[in-house]
Amino acid sequence: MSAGLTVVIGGGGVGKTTTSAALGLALARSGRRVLVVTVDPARRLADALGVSLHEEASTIDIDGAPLWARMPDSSRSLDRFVDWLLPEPEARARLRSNAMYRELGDALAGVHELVAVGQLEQDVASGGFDEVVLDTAPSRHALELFDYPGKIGRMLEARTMAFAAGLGRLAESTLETRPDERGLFAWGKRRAGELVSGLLGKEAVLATGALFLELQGARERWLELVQQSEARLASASTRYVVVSATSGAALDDASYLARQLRERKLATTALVLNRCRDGSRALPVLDAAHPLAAMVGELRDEDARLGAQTAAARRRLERERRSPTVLTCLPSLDASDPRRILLELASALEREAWVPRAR
Amino acid sequence: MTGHVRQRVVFVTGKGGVGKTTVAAALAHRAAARDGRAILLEIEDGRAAERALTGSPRVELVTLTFADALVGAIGRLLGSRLLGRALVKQRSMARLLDTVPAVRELVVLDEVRTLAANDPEATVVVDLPATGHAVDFLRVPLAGARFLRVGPAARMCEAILDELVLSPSTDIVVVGTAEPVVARETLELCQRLLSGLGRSPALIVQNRVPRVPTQAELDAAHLHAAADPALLPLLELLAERKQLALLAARAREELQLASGATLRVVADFIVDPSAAQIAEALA
Repeated sequence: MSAGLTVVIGGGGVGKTTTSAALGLALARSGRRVLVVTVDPARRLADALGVSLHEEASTIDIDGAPLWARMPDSSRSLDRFVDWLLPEPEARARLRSNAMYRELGDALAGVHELVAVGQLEQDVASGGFDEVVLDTAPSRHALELFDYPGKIGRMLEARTMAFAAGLGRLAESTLETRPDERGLFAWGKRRAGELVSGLLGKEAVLATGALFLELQGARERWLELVQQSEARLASASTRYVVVSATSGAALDDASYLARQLRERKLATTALVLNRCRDGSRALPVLDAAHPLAAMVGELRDEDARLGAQTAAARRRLERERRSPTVLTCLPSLDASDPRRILLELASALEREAWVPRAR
Repeated sequence: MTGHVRQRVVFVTGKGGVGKTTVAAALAHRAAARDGRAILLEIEDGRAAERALTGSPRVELVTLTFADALVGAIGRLLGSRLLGRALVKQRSMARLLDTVPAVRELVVLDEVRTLAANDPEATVVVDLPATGHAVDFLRVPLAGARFLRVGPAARMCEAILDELVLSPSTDIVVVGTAEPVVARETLELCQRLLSGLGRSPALIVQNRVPRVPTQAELDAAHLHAAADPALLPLLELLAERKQLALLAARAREELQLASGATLRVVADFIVDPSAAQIAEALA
């Protein structure tokens, strides 16, 4: 049985990771086996949970509810991914010694996404979990995660792969003129190949060509992964949660992401508005003559401003929300202990209808 | 500075949601006040910057898209923008460029380099992606130069390094807040800048630091809360604030020690300060 998947997206600094962890905790408290995975290169998930996290899933006990969490290490994940992609040791060794793979393999945005997609599918299909919560990197990077399977799919079309491999041949002599390739398209391809070879230099083109040849060998395996990932992301059972804070930039990001999801025909389960304040902080109104009047007044003003900002944000999201997407507001907590925040947010999420109940 | 000396290029980075774009707008605002004009460069999406720039008419906002940067960079390599456009449009090539790592970062950086070189009298403030990605972003030309070694693309990587990323007339500004989690990530970012690029930020901005209650205010609050239980929530709130201020001060010391950078605090604003307010705090 594969797990249910929840993808959590949102702009930078809106509390995506804390929301993901709290949602994971709410699901864990309902008796499910839950894995929370973060693709975010920052350490926020570990901080939110108050533990250190690794490549392998580790169990965390939060008030008696066991929760699994994992934070992929980009270079080690890439190695593991290559192990899976190329079962043959010699092909693996060739790939690892390829100059392009060595220099450009890790530490690049696109590679994180690629590896994340591969591992996510393995996590979900492993049978070890009932629910997987995916905490994505901020904003546009989250969307790259969705685009990557398709991009790789297009690149893996025989024509593009042959072109890349042809670049390698080109570096040594000129592109072989295949008798079955005539006309403007073939000419354009040859011309493009010559240009690229001139720009990148012979060795780089050879390395690039060799890399693509190696990957071409793993084409079937890769395409299978692409299809599975696309099916998983498009599945009606996959939940998408868009997280926002009350600031204008965060709301813009949330609207943008919700629109992008709609364009991809993916349904947003919930819009979560984080750090809501109702402007009713329990501070008394003091008489002007009271020695604390100025300070309390200042704090009440601040609370009122944040309350107004929350109200405006709610109105905007309510207006932009399309049925059946639910708007969920989570409170801003005056606390610095991450576990206390997590427990309170998990309790708030448990009251929401879109969060599955205990079975 | 006018005439032959080139103005600075300023890369602004930091964890998401700390007010990075607003600080970038504030820096551009200040440079424009000093020099008459400045450029704020956004990557892919300039709406947040547009909002932050309200009231800074002398800052020119440039939004750079990957597609344009790609045509520009490849056009420069080929010596013809037309040829660049044709190559980028070629179907197999387009798919390759879309998927091959590093292309995006390289062409965007080369576009920044060109923009700065063509307009040496303006300070160019670049709003970089959030932490984690930022160091990787700036490291791409290093890896590219090592991998390519020879040819025009290798020279492009070297030019980006010499004239932009490692240039003494380029500054890196890191933005953080008083929150402990953010402070820790800011410190990590500084360490990664140093280990990955051999660079330290010229300036670290600690944004949104709440006003610290004075000792007299705290004493008064305690005194009155003892007599009036309605004031007990005030004590809790002030204790939280004091704790946050303490952590923020400690984070500043650590950052100072680790980076040697100048530190500036944008204090007394728990609600998002505007670019003009930040510009004032940075003065």
